This record gives sequence, structure tokens and C-alpha cells, in this order.
Amino acid sequence: MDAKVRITLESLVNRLDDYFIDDPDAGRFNVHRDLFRDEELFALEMEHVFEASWVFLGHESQLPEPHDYLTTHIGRQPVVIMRDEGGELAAFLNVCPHRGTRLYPQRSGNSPVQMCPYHAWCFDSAGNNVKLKDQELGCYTEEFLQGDHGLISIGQFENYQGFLFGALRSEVPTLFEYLGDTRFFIDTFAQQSADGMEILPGEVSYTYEGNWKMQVENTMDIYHLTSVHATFAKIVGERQARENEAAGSDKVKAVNLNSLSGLASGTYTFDHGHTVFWGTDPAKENRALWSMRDDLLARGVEPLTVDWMFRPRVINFFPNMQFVDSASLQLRIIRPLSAQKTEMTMLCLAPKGEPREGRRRRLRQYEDFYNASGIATPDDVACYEDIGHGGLAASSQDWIQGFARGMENVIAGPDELAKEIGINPLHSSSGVQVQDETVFRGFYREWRSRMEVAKS
Amino acid sequence: MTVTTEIREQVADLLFEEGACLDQQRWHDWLALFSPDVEYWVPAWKGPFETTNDPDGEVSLIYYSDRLGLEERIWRLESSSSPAHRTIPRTCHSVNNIRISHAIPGQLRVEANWRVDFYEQKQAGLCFGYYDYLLEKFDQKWIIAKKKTTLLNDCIPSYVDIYQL
Repeated sequence: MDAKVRITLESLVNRLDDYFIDDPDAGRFNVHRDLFRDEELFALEMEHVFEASWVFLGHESQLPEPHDYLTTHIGRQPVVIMRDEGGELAAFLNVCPHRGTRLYPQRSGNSPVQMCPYHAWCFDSAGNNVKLKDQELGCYTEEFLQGDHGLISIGQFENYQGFLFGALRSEVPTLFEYLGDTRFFIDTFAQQSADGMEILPGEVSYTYEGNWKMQVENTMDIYHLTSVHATFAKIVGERQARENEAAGSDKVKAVNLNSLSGLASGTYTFDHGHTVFWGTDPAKENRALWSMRDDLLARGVEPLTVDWMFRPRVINFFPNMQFVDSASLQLRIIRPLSAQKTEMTMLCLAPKGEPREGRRRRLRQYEDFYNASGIATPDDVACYEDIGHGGLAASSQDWIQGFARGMENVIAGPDELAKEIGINPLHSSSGVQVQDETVFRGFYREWRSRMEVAKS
Repeated sequence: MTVTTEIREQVADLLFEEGACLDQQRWHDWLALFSPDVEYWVPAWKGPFETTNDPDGEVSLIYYSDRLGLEERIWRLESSSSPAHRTIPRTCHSVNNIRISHAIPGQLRVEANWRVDFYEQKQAGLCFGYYDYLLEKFDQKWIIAKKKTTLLNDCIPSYVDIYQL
């Protein structure tokens, strides 16, 4: 990095205290608005948040066959996951080691041997260099030829129950440790079929004009549901009413957001910045998975895990992925493009072997709410962009009032439900009508501790 | 069945009218162009040149097996309660390369190319792709029994709704 830029960034890091108010005993927590608009802070967070530890890369079902590949990014770095001839998965920089050309140009494909378009170096699906063009003509030193000219592996790559994670650096906690007790909740997404889970064809992506942390906050923000998604709730209510009056059938059976109020819900924050929301679904039988429930119990999945498969819940994996079950399952991958532009990739996760009727319902629920073409997600995106046109446009507005709700309710350590599950969150908040905003703290404290590392 | 010039003109009139209804925000005139049991489908993409092709097994951007979903969207637009529609872009539909690819009495398959230029908050945008219609004769008029819209630029800026398709 340019020395001048480095000096600027170091001075930013040394001012980290200026970006946070974190004094819960005095009832105060806040985050400076520059975290959402400052391009220099953005460069720092790419380095210390996204490129310093684990990020979510994809699901194993996205590359099922030998020689399949899937490209993505860790922070700013293009990477490729490949399945070799023997079926083993590995992840590399998506870069030819010769001149640095991008090697795999498509999002996904199948390629037993990939040739760099520039000087025709060739690589097999295990990342080995299998041809160095015109090597027989000499011109290279013996020392060079004894070196490794294969693709460069990323620092760490692991598969947890089909979900693939990677880190550019090798000195990171084990994935098991990094996920910690969020594993209980991830298992409720991973164990829905004896045959495993799959990403359904039809990945959808969109961009929005706003900082990536708005997406992180929104998915944990229960307070917004009844206002931002009022039209969605009304439409769902009218479908139900028509069906009840036998005036038509409800072909979607989406979660009625209004029916959730008054029922138990809560949030947890965990080590490493992960957060969880959970709620109570009064109409579990409307879920696509309901018809597979008996099979799940019969094949020995923990009854408590099965029970949690039918709760609305979100796992916010720090920093770049969200497991969402507010209707059917969705994985949301967050890719920051700049301080004020973000690309989202949305994946529909489903149990393999699902009956056709359940699959149809899953898809209708998914398309109804999610994606840039649904009737709920666009309302969230519009609000992020209105923040950009509003408070973030005025450099004089440094602080907002968006972290206060539920402050009286949050407790250190596990609540009763967490004890029943056997997990040990850093903080818990639960009850009826809490619509908690304290859950964001866990995310920001981890963000801050990552940035503190930049000081040394 | 012979496709007469008169039929070609009727088809072109219908497709142009559909775009004009959306551009002029005549939402209920637009709805009336569709059969109550219309299949309205915007597939997603699963490869560089391949869209999803099984709405009950793969993800679509939009899939409705009747007109109700379209009516819900129009209600949302008109409700003034949807943050995504506090402002609505000015839109300009262009429909061209219209081909009648199959014709039997009372039923036509029509394919066309389309683009919608739109403008909102001092920014211009563009969606473009292909239409694939099944038209049916009802009460002396052609109505839309099926419409499949392929959106080519599917990394969507912010969000997309029926008036941009």
C-alpha cells in the first residue's frame, strides 16, 4: 500500500474511539455515521474485516461434479473454489501466478484444464500447473523451474455441513471455533434432509447504493417489519381472508408478519461478531418443510433442532453472510463494492428430496418476499438508499438514534431459552414486543476489535 | 392458420398498448389486458445463456399462475405505503422485432424484443430482454393468457417491478 495512504489510515485507526460510544451502564451505545460513508475507513475494513479472517464463500451443491468450479471474492480478492477429479474441494486465488490474469471468467462452470488466455499456462482442477508454454525451449533458470507454478491456495478453506468458508490468511481460528455456538442454528439449516441440502438453480443478484452494514443491520432489525413491510403484511392478510371465506385459495401461505406480534422472540450475540434473531411462528404447518417433519424425527435429528427448524430465525455470520428463514430459507451473501455501494447475491436453500408440492410452496414464498423483484425486499433497499439521500448526505450528522431500543432488556450471558439449547451467547435479549436494537452491538464490537489490530 | 396483416396489426396494437398502459400508469387498463388465469413469469438465470425453466423446481424472479399477484402489485403501487414506491420512475417501453411464431384458430404465440428506459431521482436506467406471449381470442379481442419475460441484465440496480419489465 502507498505509504501516504498508509499514514492516513493509521491516523484513522488511532481515532477509533471517536467512532464509538459504548457505555451501556450509562445507557449509551452509538456508532459514528462515517462507518457508512468514509472511503478510507472502507479500505481499512476490507483489509481487516473481510480479508483478515473467515468469510462465507458458497455451498458445496453449487459445484457437485468433478472439475466444477465456482468463483467469488474474499474482500477485494477474486477466488475460485474447485472440485478436482477425485471430488475434493479446494480454494485458490482466481489468478494466474504468471502475470496475474483472472483465470476463470464465469461465475461457475466445469473445466478439467483451464488455460490462461495470456501466455497459455494451464492448470488442472486441483490447481496444479500442467503446462508452462514453451518450457522445452529453455529460457528459465533451474531455480525457477523447481518452484511451484500452480494456483495459489487461499490461507484456510473449510466445509461446515456443506457450507464453504475461506480465509485469505492462514493464522485464523479454526472454523469450528469461529462459528462457536452459532453452529446450533446453522445445523437447523443444514440438517433438513437425509440427502443433504442444495442451492436451487436461479441465483439472483442486485446492487444497492448504500453501505454493506445497512444490510447487516436490516436483517437483524425486527423493529422495521411492521412499517417497512406493511403492504406485504396486508397482502398476506388478504390472501388468508379470501381463503377463509372460501373466496379463493392462498397459493403462497407466506408468514403473516402481523401475526408474529405478541409472540416470544429474541436475539443473541456471540463471539466473533455473529448475531442471531429468533421468533415464534404461529402457523408452522404452512412451511414447506412441514411435510418432512416426521421423517426428520424418525431419522434421529435432535428433536430440539427439528423444533428450531420451524421458528423464524436469522443467523448473521460475521461479516458477509446471512442465513434467513422468515418465509422459506435464503442465504444472502454481502459483497461491499465501496463505502456506498453493495452487491447482494441471494441463494435459495432447500432440502434435497423435498416433495414437489413442498418445493413449489417454498419457491412461491421465496419469490414473494425476497429478491430485488419481490414485494418485500425492495422496500428494505429503498430505505437504505433513503438513508444515503438523508442523514449520510449531511456530513454534519454524525450520530443517529438507532441503537437504543431494548437497552433495558438485554442481559449478559444466556437467557432461559439459550440454557435450554445449551449455548452460551455473550448477550441475550428476549420477550414479547422487544424489537431489539441492542443486537447490533455484538457486530460493531467485533468490527472495532478487528480494526484495533490495524494499530499495531 | 394464415397470419393475416390484420392479425399482425392486432398483435402489435396489443403489445404497444401494454407498454403504454405501464408508461402512462393506467394500471387497471394494464390488468385488463390479462386473462384472470394468466401465467406471468420472469425466470431467473442459471448460466451465461440459460434461464431457469421449471417454475415449480427452480427460482424465478416473478412467477404467478393467475392475475392475483399482478393485482397485488398494483395495489402496492397505489397504496402509497410501500417505501420502494414513494417515487415511481418515468418509464419508456419500446417493443420491437415482433414475430408470430405459432398460430392456430383463437391462439397465437408471439415473441418480441423489448427495452424499458427509466428515469428517477435524476438517474437513468435500462432493463431489456425478450417477451414470449400466448394470446387467446376472447370476446372478439386478444388477451394475454401467458407472458414470459426474459430480463437480460439481471444484476438488478436496487429493485425492479412490473413497470420496468
